Amino acid sequence: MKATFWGTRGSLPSPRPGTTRYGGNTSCVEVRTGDGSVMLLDAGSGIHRLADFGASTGRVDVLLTHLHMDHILGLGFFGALFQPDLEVHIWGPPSTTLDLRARLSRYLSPPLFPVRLTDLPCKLVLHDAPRGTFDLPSASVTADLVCHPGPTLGYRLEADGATLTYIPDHEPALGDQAFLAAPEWTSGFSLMTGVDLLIHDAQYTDEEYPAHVGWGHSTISQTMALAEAAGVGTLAPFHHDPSHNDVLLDRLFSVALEEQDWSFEFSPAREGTTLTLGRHPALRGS
Amino acid sequence: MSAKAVELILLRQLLSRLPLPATLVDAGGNIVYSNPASERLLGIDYEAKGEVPLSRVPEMLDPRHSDGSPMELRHLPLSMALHDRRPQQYPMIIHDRSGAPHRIVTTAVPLDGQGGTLLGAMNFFWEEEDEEQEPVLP
Amino acid sequence: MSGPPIELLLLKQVAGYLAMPVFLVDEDGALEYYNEPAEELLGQRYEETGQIPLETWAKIWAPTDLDGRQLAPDELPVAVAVRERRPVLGIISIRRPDGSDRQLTITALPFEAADGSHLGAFAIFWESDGQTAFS
Repeated sequence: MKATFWGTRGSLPSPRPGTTRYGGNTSCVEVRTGDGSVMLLDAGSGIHRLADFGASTGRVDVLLTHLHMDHILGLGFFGALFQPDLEVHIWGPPSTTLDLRARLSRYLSPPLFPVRLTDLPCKLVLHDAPRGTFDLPSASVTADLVCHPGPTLGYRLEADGATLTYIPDHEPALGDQAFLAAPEWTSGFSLMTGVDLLIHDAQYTDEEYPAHVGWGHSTISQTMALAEAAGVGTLAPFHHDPSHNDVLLDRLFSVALEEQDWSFEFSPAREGTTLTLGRHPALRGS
Repeated sequence: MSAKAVELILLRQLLSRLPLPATLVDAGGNIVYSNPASERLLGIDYEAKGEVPLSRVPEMLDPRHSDGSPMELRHLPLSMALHDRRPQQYPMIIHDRSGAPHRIVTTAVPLDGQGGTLLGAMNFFWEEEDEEQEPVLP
Repeated sequence: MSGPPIELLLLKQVAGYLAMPVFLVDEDGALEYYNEPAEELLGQRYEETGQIPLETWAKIWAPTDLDGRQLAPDELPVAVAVRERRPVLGIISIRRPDGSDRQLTITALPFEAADGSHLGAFAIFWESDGQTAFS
């Protein structure tokens, strides 16, 4: 299983000279299994960098964690949607009253977007992602709601003998007066326990967080503690704040690493990089 | 290890801060949380007890109808909210750890998540202060 | 710490996940928020109302008691809960913007923060079917 980061930025695309290493595109991770199957985690602006989206298998699956703009911004420009012979399966959270199609249509329709879902040439199938485990052609997926404003899912993928958990927008510490004291009472914990690769929200510094409580995101230190407690193999901090340039991110991650001896490998998400997961714990990055 | 549903997690965090007594039950019928206000009213340290099945409530609280007659487990508002999946409002009597009776009013609601998933039930309860403070409107 | 009280953040977030209608007013009774299930029952999206004073939002749904008497804004269960800082139960009728009527059973609870500050009140409510109370 290979995970390629096409968009690592949170909230707002932020392309500028100082963000070229970590990237300025918003959330999008391509997951490719050994048999060539393609799954996309979110459809932020980074989706436009995909060149091959499953033409060889005739199908691509897009797993949306939630419908905040930075996670669906690129969906209307995803080339696969305009391929008549391609099956495009979009999974995402319904609300308590509206299904995914109704919710997504609020964006993919005029006046916000000139093309309607019904106008798309591909063979489009929309799925209200169930809470629990469901199978894709080449992977088993477990989805569950996590702590973030509005219906928001985290996903755990299992394929090719490896596991990957993707929770890009997450504030498990919200209102928790004893964060991580009781793991069973920690949002998202069961999705990430023992996973080979955890891709997780790490948007804020400890100094920034008090002004952003309730915004739905974690600090780098909270994410590190979460990963340690969950026994993950590798942590990829993700959803970088748009105001954090490459130099700052380097420094923040360096400081976080020095806080203690961590049991996991540390590989901050950088746009354009690929992590290869296999049966062995070692991660091969490129 | 299975984590609790995020709805229960958020409710626990919210209820822990409210001065109104409240209890959370999961879909399996276990009391998974009772907030400090509830513990103070009842004199029971739920935190120390851990999860308690709803079936133990009759022995713990000796719940009764307003007329003093014993209340069966299946008639507990929380039980009815959970099993019948209908909200309940009801005046009743419960007894604290010392055996002292408390006339309370309780509202119990089923907790339904997306797709109609039953997550459990929740109740708020408060002591009746006087007869005039019964429902404002019939 | 700047920003809204944590209790308000938690209530809004969990209300966004539940199928139970939740309606929240601030310490002046002004409309603060209601969730999607409440929107379904009330027949109007929150974005169409916004944060409006009690006297204004009360008129939108023309609430009456079960005898059909128009209720003044300050008679509504959630308004009483805010003013008197105590739980209030009630059954009222409303008229939705589409002209249809609904009978609602309401539990309105005072909303107070852990530090004792008065945040307003929130109501959980459901459509009455004549059988919601134990009998």
